[in-house]
Amino acid sequence: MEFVKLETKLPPKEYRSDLEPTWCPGCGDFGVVTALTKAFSEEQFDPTALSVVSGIGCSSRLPLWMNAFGLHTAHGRALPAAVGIRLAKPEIPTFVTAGDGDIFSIGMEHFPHAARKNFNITLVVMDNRMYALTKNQTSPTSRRGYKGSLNPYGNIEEPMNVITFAIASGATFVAQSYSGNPKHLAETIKAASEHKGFSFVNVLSPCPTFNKIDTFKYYKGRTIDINKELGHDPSDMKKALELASHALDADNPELQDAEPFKGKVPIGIFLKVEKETFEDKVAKLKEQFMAPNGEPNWDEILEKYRP
Amino acid sequence: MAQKKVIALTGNQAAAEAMRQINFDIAAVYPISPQTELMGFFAEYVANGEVDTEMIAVDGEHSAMAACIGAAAAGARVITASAGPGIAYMVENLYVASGMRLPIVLLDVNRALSAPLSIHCDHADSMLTRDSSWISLFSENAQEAYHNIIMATKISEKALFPIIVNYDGYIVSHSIEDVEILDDETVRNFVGPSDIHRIPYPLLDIKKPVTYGATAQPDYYTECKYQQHVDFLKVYDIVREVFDEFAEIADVKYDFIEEYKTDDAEYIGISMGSSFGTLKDVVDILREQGKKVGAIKIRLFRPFPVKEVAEALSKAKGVAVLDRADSFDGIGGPLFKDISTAVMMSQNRPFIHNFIYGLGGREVKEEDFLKAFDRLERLEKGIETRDRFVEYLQVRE
Amino acid sequence: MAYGEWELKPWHEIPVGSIVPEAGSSKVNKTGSWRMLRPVLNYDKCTHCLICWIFCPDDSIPVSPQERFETDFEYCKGCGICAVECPYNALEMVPEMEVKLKELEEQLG
Repeated sequence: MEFVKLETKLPPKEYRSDLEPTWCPGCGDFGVVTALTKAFSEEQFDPTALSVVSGIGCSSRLPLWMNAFGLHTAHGRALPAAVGIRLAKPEIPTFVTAGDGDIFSIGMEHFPHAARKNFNITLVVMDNRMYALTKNQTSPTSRRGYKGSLNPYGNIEEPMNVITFAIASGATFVAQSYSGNPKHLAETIKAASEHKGFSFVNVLSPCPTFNKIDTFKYYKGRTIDINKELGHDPSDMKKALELASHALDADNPELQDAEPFKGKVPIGIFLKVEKETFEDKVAKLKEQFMAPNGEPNWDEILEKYRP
Repeated sequence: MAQKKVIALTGNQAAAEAMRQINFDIAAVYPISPQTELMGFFAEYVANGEVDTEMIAVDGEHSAMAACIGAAAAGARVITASAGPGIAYMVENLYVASGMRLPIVLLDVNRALSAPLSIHCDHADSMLTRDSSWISLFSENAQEAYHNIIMATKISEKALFPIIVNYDGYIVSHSIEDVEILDDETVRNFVGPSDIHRIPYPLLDIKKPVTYGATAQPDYYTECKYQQHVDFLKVYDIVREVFDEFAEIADVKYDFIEEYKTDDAEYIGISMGSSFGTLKDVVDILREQGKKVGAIKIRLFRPFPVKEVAEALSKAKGVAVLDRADSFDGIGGPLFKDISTAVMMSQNRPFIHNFIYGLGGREVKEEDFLKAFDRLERLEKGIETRDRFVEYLQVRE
Repeated sequence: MAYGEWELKPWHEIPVGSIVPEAGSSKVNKTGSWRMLRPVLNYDKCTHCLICWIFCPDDSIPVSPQERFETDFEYCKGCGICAVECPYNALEMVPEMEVKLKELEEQLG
């Protein structure tokens, strides 16, 4: 189903609400707001037919700053709530904006299934590699040794490679971007919203208040564009998986010279493949089983059960 | 005699101190305000090697309770803490824990439930647990929270039921007050060593393997629940016993309910948690005006002290039940229904009215409770009339 | 006596926490009543290789080291794994109702 769109382009600021973000100064998530509004403007989405869904966390406050239908749900439940919107109103573009704790920890049961079923949802994860709203705890993407308030001795767990996971789960669009690179971020989010199917953008979005390791300074000059610099073709799933498997190499001091990223953090579109969306399949089913005049043929149905 | 020292602590710090002294085997944690800070303090004790506790950072409150169930069934002494929506997310496993009769301590730093989202205090989260056959204690301040956690560990292991210790989010959890701390040895002697044979069928007893949580068909389920029902009634005596034992080490004699100037009171206000201090102040103000009023605090919320409440209210004319949560059922708040049921036990049934206050962290002032007493008196004397049992205090018109 | 010899205990004899304190409790749960298809053994074809015994998930095939005996129909759920695995096609899955009807006819003469 096609999305509702405007005939003319609105300037990006029309997609912002009157509320000023309550994020800390210097938060990476500001970049995501700008990139989203730009993408909405380019795509000519109608603010009165556009939904932004979130869970709980710093980044999950994003729908409040948007001039669109916002749904602030329970911790971890942004994706299923968005699925509800998709099924009820498939003509409304649906964005999920949440954090790494929300999507990859408490809400992890929904991420692979939303990807596998290929709902036409754009999921933008603002990955600051820790829980910020509850003041610095390790999340599933926190690097090893990261010191949060619940583990002052340092994280003993391995961080999760979410890019590999998304590809393996069957997401049809998988990308990583960085909020310190507004141009790349806007382009990636635009590409994600253009894509028909489940599109996942992992945005490296530093938390200046708590995370003193994964900072803007750390990422500066440390990102590598896999499409432009390495010539990666997003339709090549095998190559995408291989590249994705090295996505966390930069964390490891021993792998600073290792191929393919040489100690850099990859950004860009890993995978983009076309598959039928869940919504389209539902529509097809309806067509298939609903009589042309909208009324089922009761006699025909009852006949099946007559002895 | 126990050594004591008085130090200034927040509610969360006092709770963390109790956890350190008890030296739990396992703590499962997931961050949620206003509880996160508590586990943060405790994490420092773990990091410094001051406790033997294994701390597990899990992936949600549902998993936290699941981890506690696994550890408790294996025979470990376990604790977790949460608040508001975290408790709501845990509920399925709360029933599993109590059905398996596992001693687990859960600290509920009371927080309102979404939506709208609020991180501040009310008792809606705890009310989700009231039918789950968990023992439930409410704490007025950091001192009581500290004492309750120590007693809860013992109560839970004696009764073989899991236990919730409630203290108000932010109001208690983040306010600093003087707390009298017992010495480590006294606390550890009081709760006793953590041995897997504290429970009848520990999974780690490899000589006696058992299955927890098997299916009960319709021919057995009723009997299983009846046994739980009968055993839950025995909790009253166990709680009393532990309160008495605790009085010997802490010089504080706790009871299921706390009465304040109720001996000759005509009108009585009932509340739970931190607002009881305000309620007592209001009683003093009204007493100065010559009014015979009193106050009751519910400490043991589950099992509900039916007899004690009925006895305490038997001479009153009117009762104002102050609920920090709404039930949205056309009757009244959760505490109101419990109190109303309790007075059915006595011959003299006072006039009862329900007031809802302090939702989502709304500050409770003396004038709010003065208003409640005033309205109660007018209703009871027939000066004013009511068309329903429940009213909101503090609503902006 | 709801399920065969399973004696229903009164509430106060149930172990605390409704746990199952001994192994082999599935023995009292006679699952034969679930059976829709019955494995009928052709003794002429059977070589007593005991492969069916290895595969039976319900341990419903009594054997000695040399011999396969008739299936224990108190527990056999009629899953048909034995019939599939038998290398000599000595087992045939027959609708339970047919067998029951035949038995009834024989009884009535």
